[in-house]
Amino acid sequence: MAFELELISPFEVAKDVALAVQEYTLLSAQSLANFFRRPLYMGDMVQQADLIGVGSLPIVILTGLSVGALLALNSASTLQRFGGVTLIGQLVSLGMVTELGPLITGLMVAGRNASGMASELGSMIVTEQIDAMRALGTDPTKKLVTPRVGATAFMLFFLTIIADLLGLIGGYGVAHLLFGLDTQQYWTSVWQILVFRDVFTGLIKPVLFGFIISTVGCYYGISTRGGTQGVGRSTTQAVVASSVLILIVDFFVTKLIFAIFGYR
Amino acid sequence: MPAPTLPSENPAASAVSPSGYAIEFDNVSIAFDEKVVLDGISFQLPHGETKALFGVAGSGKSTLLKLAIGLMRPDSGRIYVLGEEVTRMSEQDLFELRRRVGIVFQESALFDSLKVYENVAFRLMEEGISAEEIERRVREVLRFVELERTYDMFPSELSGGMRRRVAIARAIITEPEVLLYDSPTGGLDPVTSNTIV
Repeated sequence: MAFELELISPFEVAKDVALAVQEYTLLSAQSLANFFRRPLYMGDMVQQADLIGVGSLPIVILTGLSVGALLALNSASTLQRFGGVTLIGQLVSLGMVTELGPLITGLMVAGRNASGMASELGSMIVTEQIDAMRALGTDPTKKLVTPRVGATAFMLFFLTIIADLLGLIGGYGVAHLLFGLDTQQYWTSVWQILVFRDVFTGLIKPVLFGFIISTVGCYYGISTRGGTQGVGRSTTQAVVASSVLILIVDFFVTKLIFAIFGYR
Repeated sequence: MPAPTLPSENPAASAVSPSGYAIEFDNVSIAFDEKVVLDGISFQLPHGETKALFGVAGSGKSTLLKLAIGLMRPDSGRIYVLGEEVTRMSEQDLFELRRRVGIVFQESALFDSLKVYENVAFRLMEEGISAEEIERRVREVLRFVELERTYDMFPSELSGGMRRRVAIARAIITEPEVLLYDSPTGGLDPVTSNTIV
């Protein structure tokens, strides 16, 4: 059996990438503009908020708790050498609120929901349901994309707060039970180390990550081609692209906030 | 493969009065990846008349219907539906026009996560009509396609012929000015085909 290897011109690849970026940008802009156009499909938004927010709660609780506990465990063994076990609270607090809470929650929700959105919309594309919706006079971006964008950004904000809190509780468990740290001492250091900039950083990120997860998931879903195999491909690409984009945006947002508010 | 040009009911009117027809195609062509699917198609469909389109699989029948309601854009030529030039309209303007046109897709294209009554009532719900009025009209149109018993069922619980009839119910519930059927009896047994026709 002979295999033929088809060579693709780098210009064609660059053109495809530029086209994908253009389409993604247009879809994202349109999904935002739809918030100012009637109808708003509040029912669909609430349904998506339930699916994304309440549905993701168990995984966020589990990861939040374990990341906080692991952060405390790993840092405590180093801090112990310098007699600084009392600093565990500060370390867990800063790490969870500014970085790990939003990042881990974003990645977990991306894995769970970007794939769900891509497969759901992708299936609707291959079975002509999106065409049917357009033929019935309904804008699929307004009916399907905008409620998902609104619901993901809104719910990720609260899921991150829950993950942060559980991370702090996980850290407290380790610090108190394994290293004998006093309860009041831990929670006082957790509270005192945080300044406005940290809380602002920790709460602006989930909104951006939620926007990325939903727009990337919907974009890959809507641009699905090639039947069920295409749906599978879109699902995988949506998870990979949204996760990578979250990591990149996380770096630049952190850098920007440092530039605005200054370093500690 | 160039598709045959369909005979026009009134060739003299085509040059000047596109709005006089329910649908008018004027020298429409479309190709996918170098493959020409429709080549210079021109025809008119006057109001109140029926036109049937025959052709082998892949000859562009579905493409032609999708072009008619602006789900696809032609490479060249002009298309008029109910006096509006579809080929020049934005997607937002097309949504308005499509509310006056009904279409039944080849594979029915029912929303699989919605029940039969939600599928049929989709357009009415979008228009914000009261729940009582929606239920009355959905039951009426389902009775017309002899499927009132499927009111609370999901599309996956229906046979191919039943799905096709639900799609017809969804298309006719708002009494559109133009109805487009894409292979309404394709792949169905003669008894079901007769029921649909």
